[in-house]
Amino acid sequence: MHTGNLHHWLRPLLLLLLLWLPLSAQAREVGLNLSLATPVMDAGSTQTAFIKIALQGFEQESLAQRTPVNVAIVLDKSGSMSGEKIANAREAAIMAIESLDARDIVSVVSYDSRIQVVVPATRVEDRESIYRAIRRLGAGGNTALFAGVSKGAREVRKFLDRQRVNRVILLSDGLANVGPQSPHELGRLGRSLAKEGISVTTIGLGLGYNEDLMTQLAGFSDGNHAFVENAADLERIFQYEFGDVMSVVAQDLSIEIRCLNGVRPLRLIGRDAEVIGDRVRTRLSSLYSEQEKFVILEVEVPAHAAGSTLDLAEVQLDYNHLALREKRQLSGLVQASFSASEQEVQQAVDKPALEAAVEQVANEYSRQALERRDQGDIEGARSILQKSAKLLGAQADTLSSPKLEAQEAEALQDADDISSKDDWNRKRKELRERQYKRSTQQTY
Amino acid sequence: MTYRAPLLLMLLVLLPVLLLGWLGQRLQHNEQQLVGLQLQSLIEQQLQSVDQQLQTHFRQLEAVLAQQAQRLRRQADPDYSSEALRRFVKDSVYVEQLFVLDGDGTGERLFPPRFDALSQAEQRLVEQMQPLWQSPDLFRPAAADPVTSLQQAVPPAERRLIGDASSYLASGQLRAPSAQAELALDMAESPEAKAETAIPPGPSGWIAWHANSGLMQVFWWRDDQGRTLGFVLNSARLLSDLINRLPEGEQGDAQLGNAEIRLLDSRGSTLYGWGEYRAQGKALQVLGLSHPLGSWRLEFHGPAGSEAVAPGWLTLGVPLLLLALGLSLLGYLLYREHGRELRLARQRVNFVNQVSHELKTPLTNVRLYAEMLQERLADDDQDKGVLRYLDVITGESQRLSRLIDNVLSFSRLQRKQLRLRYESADVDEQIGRIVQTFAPLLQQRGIEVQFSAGIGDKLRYDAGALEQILNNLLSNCEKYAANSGVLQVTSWQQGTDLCIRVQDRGPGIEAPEQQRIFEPFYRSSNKLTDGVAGTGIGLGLARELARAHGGDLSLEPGTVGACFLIRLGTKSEEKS
Repeated sequence: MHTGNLHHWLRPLLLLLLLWLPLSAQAREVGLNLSLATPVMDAGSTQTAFIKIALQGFEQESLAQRTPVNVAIVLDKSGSMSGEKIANAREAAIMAIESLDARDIVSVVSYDSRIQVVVPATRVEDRESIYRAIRRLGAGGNTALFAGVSKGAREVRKFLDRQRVNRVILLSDGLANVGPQSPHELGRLGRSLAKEGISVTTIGLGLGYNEDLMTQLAGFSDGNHAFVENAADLERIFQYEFGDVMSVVAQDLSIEIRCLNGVRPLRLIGRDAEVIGDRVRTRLSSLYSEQEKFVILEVEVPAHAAGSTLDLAEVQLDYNHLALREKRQLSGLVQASFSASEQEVQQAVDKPALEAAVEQVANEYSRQALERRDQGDIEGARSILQKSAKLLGAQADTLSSPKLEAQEAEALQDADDISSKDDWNRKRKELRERQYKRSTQQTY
Repeated sequence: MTYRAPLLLMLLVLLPVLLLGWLGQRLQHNEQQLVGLQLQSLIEQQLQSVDQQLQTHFRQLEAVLAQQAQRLRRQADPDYSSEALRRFVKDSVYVEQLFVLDGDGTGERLFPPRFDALSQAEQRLVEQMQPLWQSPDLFRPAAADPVTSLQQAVPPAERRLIGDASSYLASGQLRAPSAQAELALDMAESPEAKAETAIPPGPSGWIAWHANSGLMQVFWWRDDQGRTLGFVLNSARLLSDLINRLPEGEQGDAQLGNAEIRLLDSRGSTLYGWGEYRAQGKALQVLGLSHPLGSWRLEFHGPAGSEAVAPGWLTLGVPLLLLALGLSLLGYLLYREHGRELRLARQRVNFVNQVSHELKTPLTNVRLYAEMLQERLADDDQDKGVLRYLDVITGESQRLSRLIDNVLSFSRLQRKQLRLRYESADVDEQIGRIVQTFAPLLQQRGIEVQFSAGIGDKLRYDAGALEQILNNLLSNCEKYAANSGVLQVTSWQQGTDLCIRVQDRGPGIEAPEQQRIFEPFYRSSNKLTDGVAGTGIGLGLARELARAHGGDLSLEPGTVGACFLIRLGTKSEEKS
């Protein structure tokens, strides 16, 4: 497989390796892995390329050395939560708090048409009184979701510290009907909270909630999102969430990409980003122990002659290292070389990067399909998903990737589901959840 | 007539009860209105204080933003670098977008840059804000703008607040502690700010801008070179912060009790509510919020005031009922007492009547036999002494029978049983006879009767009634006008009426008494009449008789003595 003109595409890789080596030597550091799906490109034509910017969370030394957390649990106790649901939610919250200790700060806010601060922000010391307060919760009333999140955020803000994991965990099973209720408005609140270092995890329970609102709120603040159909699963989800929260190793990760040499950024797939000219900025709230998070940037590369090498982009990562309690900065360069040989181009393909890029592109198709479906264009939605499946299928073959194959099967299934009217509500929630998890590399 | 007493008593009971009831009701009504007004003003105050709380947020936010604007200005050298502004927007929790307008009158935008690439959000901002930028009038500190004017009115205090966020704590205004912390956080990011030289604060203000995506709050600040920095707030975050300033849960319940305050936006949908009261319905009071939340309002909901009325009626009704009962009892007792008195009086009258009747028959016999004896003895030449005794007996028995006639007639009048008997008789002859009868008596009292007859015809009338009237007048003369000389009696006919005038030359009747002498049982009690006996019913009876006879008895005005005029209606002769 190694041919004579290997050095054409090996050079950027080597360069990357050089950049990466000192990082890996220092094990307790976030890894910034830059890769290009097609490190060798067709010479002589303008083309698009995918840059994968992967952040690798280092391993948390031990649970004892984890970062203290500051969590607000915001529970829906509207009328629809009555019975089994509220009981499960109470127990799930208690179980989750059980895993915290005296370093941590917890608060519990419940909402119906009124807001009630059940447990004001407090250290987890007197567990029994916290549990007693939670067990008193009963259900009834409307759903003032916006105000609930606001007051939850206020509780977190009381002990806001960038060296803690600051999070609001929202559980809702219904549509917000008091106060702002559009996904857009909740998203903006999420964005503002993210700037403060607070992320919002949203857990949708049952089939009554607004998945767009919940994913937007979580998305703009880079929290997690989960669709829990059965209230009995709440405990499990809360435990996953708290596991995540307690394994955060880096926070406030802001990525700035500068495209060089006439390379034009097209889009950052799957994540909210700011594109100004040749600059792309995005932000991730937290990186978990041993977790890889990545963003895919699609760029347009101008034509270059064969044999030449080009610096595509400069990437800078600023983050807050929680174990060291200090701000860190990493940077890297993405390079491409050009070749006239089709074979060479094919051989040089960076499989993991391309796989990730295809995964995200297909995910983007899935979003578009959902949008079409919402507009009533079922046929259009299906054709998009079929197109996505075709892309996935083709790439799965060339990359021999079981992951993409599975995603292809999923896309085909979605194409069927999207045209059926039965059970669409549940399917839509599942689909949104899947899209969300895929684009944010959620751990659970 | 018999219903009069109970009617009066009922009025006596009803009037005060009704009056008191009305007054009580008025009082209660007024009180309710007063309470209602007080409640209204209390609610108003409560809403005002909420508005004030929200205004406090804007004032604090304004202080923070002004400080940040100053920092941006210090970084500008001399132009604002897009890089710095974008970094600011990226990190600012409250501000979603930022714009800078040139100050040289053109108002051209300096940021977002006009000739460089923009992010999507910036492009959207440009589309939404274009109309605002074209109306520079809005960027003037308006006097109507309470936020701005307040800042201008107390610049030193405000500046102190800007310099030291912790002094908010000391200022004693209402706010959530978390808001405090959060505002302080933003300030803490600029520890170097205080070391640098301060730039004098320029004019600033708020604009509430309605773009297609809803209401946007813009805080603008003018730097020393006349450039305007516009901070477009993240409206969701603004609302979230405002909500965080408002009470929740038990705190809200305790503050309001059974009521609810709602915050509504310009479309009238509820943004936030607190308090125990949950029912839907019309708001008791509505308060529009101050600038820059001008299109929002606060609503106060609560149970309507009508529930307080029922116990009010009870407190008014029970005393009124008791009063009515008491008065009725009193009235009943009075009525019974009055009835007893009435019965007693009737019994007495009956008794007098009976006695008079009983006296009448023996007296008639006494008179009859005395007169017969007088006639028999007059023929014989008897002892003068015996005749004189007989005269006295006759005279006194006649007087007694007149008295009894008076009593009986009076009682008949009282019982309305008086029936007149019209008979044809010669009036002059009858008058003459009566005068004749009285002549010896009057002569003894020094009165000389002169009768001038002027009718000379037979008329139909009640001779008994006329006799009784004349008897009464003449016996009054005998009693009251002794030694007065001539008593003139004149009769004449006037139409169908027969008239008789009786005029003496006695002391007359004094003006105040002229009306009262006709009242029954009234007796003139001046010194001249002291020692004069009488029942006091004579003149009254005479007048009643005359009136019953279709005429009248009246006192004629005159210079000397008393002059009575009798006028009786007669019936025509042909009718009989």
